[in-house]
Amino acid sequence: MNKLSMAIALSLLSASSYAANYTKNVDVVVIGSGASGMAAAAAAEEKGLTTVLLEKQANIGGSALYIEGTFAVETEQQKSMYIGLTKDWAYKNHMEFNHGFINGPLMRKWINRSDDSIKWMEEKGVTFHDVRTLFEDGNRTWHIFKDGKGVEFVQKMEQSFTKNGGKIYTETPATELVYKDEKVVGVIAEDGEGDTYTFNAKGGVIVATGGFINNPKMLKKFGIRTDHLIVGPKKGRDGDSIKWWEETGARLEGMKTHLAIGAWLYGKDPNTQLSHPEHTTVYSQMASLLRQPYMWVAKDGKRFIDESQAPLWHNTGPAVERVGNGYFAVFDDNMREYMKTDGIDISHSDWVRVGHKLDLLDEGIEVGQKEGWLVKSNTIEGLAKKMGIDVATFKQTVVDANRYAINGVDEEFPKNRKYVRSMDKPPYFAVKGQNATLITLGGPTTDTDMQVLREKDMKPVGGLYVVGCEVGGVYGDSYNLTLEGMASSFAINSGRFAAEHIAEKMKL
Amino acid sequence: MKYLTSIATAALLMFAVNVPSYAGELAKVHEDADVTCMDCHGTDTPTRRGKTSLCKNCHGDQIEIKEFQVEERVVNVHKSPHGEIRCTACHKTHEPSVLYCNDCHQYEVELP
Ligand SMILES: Cc1cc2nc3c(=O)[nH]c(=O)nc-3n(C[C@H](O)[C@H](O)[C@H](O)COP(=O)(O)OP(=O)(O)OC[C@H]3O[C@@H](n4cnc5c(N)ncnc54)[C@H](O)[C@@H]3O)c2cc1C
Repeated sequence: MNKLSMAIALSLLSASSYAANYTKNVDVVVIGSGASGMAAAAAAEEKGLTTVLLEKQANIGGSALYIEGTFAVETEQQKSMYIGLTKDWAYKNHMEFNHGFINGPLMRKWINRSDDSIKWMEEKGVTFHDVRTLFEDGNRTWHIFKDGKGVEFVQKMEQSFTKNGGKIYTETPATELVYKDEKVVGVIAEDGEGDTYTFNAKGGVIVATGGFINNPKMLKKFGIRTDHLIVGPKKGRDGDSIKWWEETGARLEGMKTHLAIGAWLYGKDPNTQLSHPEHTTVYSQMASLLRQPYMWVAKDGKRFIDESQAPLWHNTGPAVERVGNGYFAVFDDNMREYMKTDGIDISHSDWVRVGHKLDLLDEGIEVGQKEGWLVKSNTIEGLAKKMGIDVATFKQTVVDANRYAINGVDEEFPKNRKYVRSMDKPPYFAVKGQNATLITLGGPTTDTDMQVLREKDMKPVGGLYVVGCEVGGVYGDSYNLTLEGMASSFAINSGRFAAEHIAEKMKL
Repeated sequence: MKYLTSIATAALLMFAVNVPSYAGELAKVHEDADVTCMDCHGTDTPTRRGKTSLCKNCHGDQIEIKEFQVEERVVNVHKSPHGEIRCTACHKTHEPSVLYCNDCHQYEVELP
């Protein structure tokens, strides 16, 4: 081993030539290997386009590894289960949910193709084992992936892509677009080992970088709270594309829109609270307490919502935010026993299913007290003190709740009477929860082929496509949980649309 | 320009800590086996991370390691189902190694 001397080190100052710089000519560059990027890359190679896929992280998959299930309507699976939901229903639902503040033609195209994409994935070996919903008698549109994770989807897309000749570069973030004469003609990237690449893209560049949830500066810039926990990857979705939108004069919309869920153990990494329904854990079971429809109390000692809204994240997220990004789910010993022996009444996504008996609850109560996100007391006063809230107000909340339980009527919120329970058997417990954000949902406006449109004339920026959760015009002010699994479905379908358009264009 | 600044910083760092001295065990193992900077970094004086392709020159394409069971899955951290991971994502060589898998998983694996 040579000794490194100052002289050698200094001589390196003229040694940038040590780093290799490769130039490659391709048809398509896909930036980002999440749900949309994997689908775009697989679809492009399948269509005979020479494609490279760049991923910033050491592994592929991005948030796609976390997806439980994906939306579609009029699929064979649904038909076999007598689920009669239609494309027209889904389209109308989504337009109404968002008050029309979305890209109608694109939404129509995506919903109409959603069943075809399920088949397309199956042809590539992706398996679905159920069609589920998170709501009592809800709309069953959520096609659950193997093991309730997107891992197999990512793998099968990768296999299809590389088998057809595609090349993946991990730890190789795209750093710049090559933008000439108002057209995007390539991408510059640098890999983790110091090599730089210039990819000339004849057909187009598909940006699939997954938004900016991992970049607090940008969250602040676009008006999203930065004190929420983050579910999913802790790095990678850094908003690298925002500067490209600025450079190319793209029209942005919905930059403040994001998906938040108001039920995670306070101050604890939410990724610890994800599990498989057949392999639940102490933390996933304890997180499920935060979604039970009994009594939620804010810092002022009062209830603030009909707790049975729990699965409607687009309602509970903002409600929790409004009371200061923290709340307590409170229950007594009867409820503890009930959740152990009869099971829970509301799913914690598909990580802990409705009806699951919380066999790890007692262990969790001990862990929670040690870690500081659960308090226990034999009296209501004692509990309030440990929660750090006003004793008198909380006592009144409990007195009221016990009256509602006797009468079977929630006098404050229109909660279904079957969820109206008393708080009268000590010991009493309070779990502290807070919001977490999964993904951002804003980005450039596109046409139905996913071409990025310019602000100045609403015409496409030549060669530039955007797909996945950083497409603008898919959501109004929030995620639409009544079309369950729509984020990944839109990502996968939009990826296919971009690839198809480039293939079509290049034939000309 | 970016390279120049990082090289300049590297030079300063080297000066400050009075190199050569190795932070990581792996570096020592490689030094004892007469592996040179060039062998891993492609240059006599390292300007960037070791290259996976150069690791493979000596170690081959796949090093067999012990598999283990997690729930229904058999895990082999050298056969990631999430794409090809570069060797140096885990084996840091000049600093303590870390299991990259544990960014998401919680495996108990000791690695060189
Ligand atoms: C915990 C969790 C559970 C979820 N469950 C569901 C569900 O059940 N159903 C559903 O429909 N949706 C679900 N989602 C949402 C879904 O995961 C996303 O909507 C979808 O993955 C978005 O796809 P994408 O391709 O836009 O982004 P991602 O999948 O996030 O991929 C973006 C990729 O781009 C990479 N990247 C960023 N910058 C660069 C750069 N400069 N160069 C190269 N690469 C770059 C990132 O590292 C990342 O790998 C869930 C999300 C989370 C976090």
